[in-house]
Amino acid sequence: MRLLSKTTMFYLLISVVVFGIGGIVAYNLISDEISKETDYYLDTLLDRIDRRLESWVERDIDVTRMNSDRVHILELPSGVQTDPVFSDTLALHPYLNQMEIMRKLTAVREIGGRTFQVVINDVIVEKDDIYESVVKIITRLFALLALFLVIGGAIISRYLMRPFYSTLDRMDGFEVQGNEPMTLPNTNIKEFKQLNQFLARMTGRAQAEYQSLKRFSENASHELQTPLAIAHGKLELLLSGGPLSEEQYKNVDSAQQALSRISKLGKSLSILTKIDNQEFDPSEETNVTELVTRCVEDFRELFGLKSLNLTTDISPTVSIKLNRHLGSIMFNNLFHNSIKHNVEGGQVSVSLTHEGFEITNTGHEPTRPRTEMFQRFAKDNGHPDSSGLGLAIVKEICDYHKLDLDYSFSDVHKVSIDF
Amino acid sequence: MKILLVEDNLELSKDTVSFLTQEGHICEVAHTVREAEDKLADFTYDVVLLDLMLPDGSGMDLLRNYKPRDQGQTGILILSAKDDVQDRIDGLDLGADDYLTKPFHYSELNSRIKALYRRRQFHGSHKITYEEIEIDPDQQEVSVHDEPVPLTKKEFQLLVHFIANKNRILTKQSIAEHLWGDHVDYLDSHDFVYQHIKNLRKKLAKAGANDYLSNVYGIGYRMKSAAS
Repeated sequence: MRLLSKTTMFYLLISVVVFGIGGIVAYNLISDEISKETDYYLDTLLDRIDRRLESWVERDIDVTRMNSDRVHILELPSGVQTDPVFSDTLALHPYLNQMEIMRKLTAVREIGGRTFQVVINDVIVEKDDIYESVVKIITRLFALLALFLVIGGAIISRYLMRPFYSTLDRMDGFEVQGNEPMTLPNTNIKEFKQLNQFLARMTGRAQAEYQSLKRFSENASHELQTPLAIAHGKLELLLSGGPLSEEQYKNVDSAQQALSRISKLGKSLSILTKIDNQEFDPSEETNVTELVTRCVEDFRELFGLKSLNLTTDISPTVSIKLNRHLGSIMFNNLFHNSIKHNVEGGQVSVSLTHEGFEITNTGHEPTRPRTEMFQRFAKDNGHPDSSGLGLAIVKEICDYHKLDLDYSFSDVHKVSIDF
Repeated sequence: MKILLVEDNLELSKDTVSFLTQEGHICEVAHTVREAEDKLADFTYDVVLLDLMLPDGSGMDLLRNYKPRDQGQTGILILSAKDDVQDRIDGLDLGADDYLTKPFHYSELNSRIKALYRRRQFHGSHKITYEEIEIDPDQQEVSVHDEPVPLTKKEFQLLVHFIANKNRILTKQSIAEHLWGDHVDYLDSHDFVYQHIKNLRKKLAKAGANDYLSNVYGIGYRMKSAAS
């Protein structure tokens, strides 16, 4: 949910509460005021009736002639003058011809030794009507407020939040691998300014740390390979300087092989580090058909040398998001494994469709459980000299590109990658 | 051949020079970009072996500055510990002729230098002759006593590699790496090397050539000239 929608919702919620309370207050105020006004009106009416009573009693006119819908005068035999009493009563409405709540003022007057009870009725505004009107007013006001809140909110927040959204935009496009510092828009809003300053600082630091990490792994690789090159070269000079005894030749050769293994290990680890550092662009669109076909061509000879029977089923135009370099390492490793873990005269079959890639090969049942297959340095007993990194690299590459990798063994080794 | 080695590591440059001198080349060393620039300004070299990570800069910068001034007679081979595809691509784009990652076999370096030299220097015939064997690298053709010998691509590469490194012991591992590059696992490829050599020997013998290849204690092979 967007920030704007959320704040608008809260504002509306608060308005509902305020309008609710406001409605109750308005209702009470209005009905109080109306009954006060009605009572006042009845009071003044009573005053006029008092004066008329006095003059009529003086001139001996029949006071009951004053009786009407609203006024009812009754002569009492005798009585005590009491204060006027206001009360509510049900009475027949003169025009509507139905019972309505009326305000009633009852007073007892003693004029010229006679006692009169004066009852005055007046139609009052019904509570229901007040209630209805208040609700009507409140809902209309609320609708108006809501409308303005939504429209006004959208306009104001678009204006106020513009620097924030543009910061969000820049953040989306930010790359820790890149050298471009994150440029953030200027703003005079304190909080956004703070946010931008913080972001600029943190992204700058992240980039610097990324660069130093990258440089470190590059240097580490360089520092490892250079002494290896020296040792390797010295051994080669020893070989060509000869003559050595058979034993010495064999030792030199073994030493060279061991060095070669370290060097390859270093290179493999450096690739893993680079994948971890996300130094490769995974969004490259790569023609996988081309990569796999090239592998088939490169390895065809090696298949032949181990008398392996290769069957291929490669769709012509498979293209996915895959870093080209990593893709070629991945397929190379898989083809490589299909030879290494195969038996003389065995089978390899490769299939590539738009749904995925699959390579199966004959071979001995793995000595390790299936789940450990993709771990680093997971070596099969038959191959103590293998680096144990080939499948681990394939796994990392698949994870990096969010491709599903699976291995299974049932008579044949099967590695499949779902695109 | 006159070679300039640009390499900051003293030990490595000393050994490389000693190997190249054994091969009969005149070899000079520059340890920094500056030194290399001075030498390149004063002398002409057939081949420059260029390390990328140098104390006072990158070999790439040297390449960038030098290449436009070069009249095409100098071959440039990058020797780097960085096995980065991007570096390889950048280097070749900047005009380097070849790229070899450390650690490398001297025999491999030797083959590459010779191939580079052949491509650069002789505008006429690039042919290599070794006793009765004649090789045309451009056409990838081999003949013995003027009779063509049908070799596969790998067998051809193998023969050229042996001739470039005659009288040297080439270990199976170095041969495998020459034929299949870094990506090949030496365990299996040793058998593959054996098979290729067996086929090569058979084909050469059938064409009437002497067998110059000999196995050295099972670790590798050596091509001996008839005289030695």
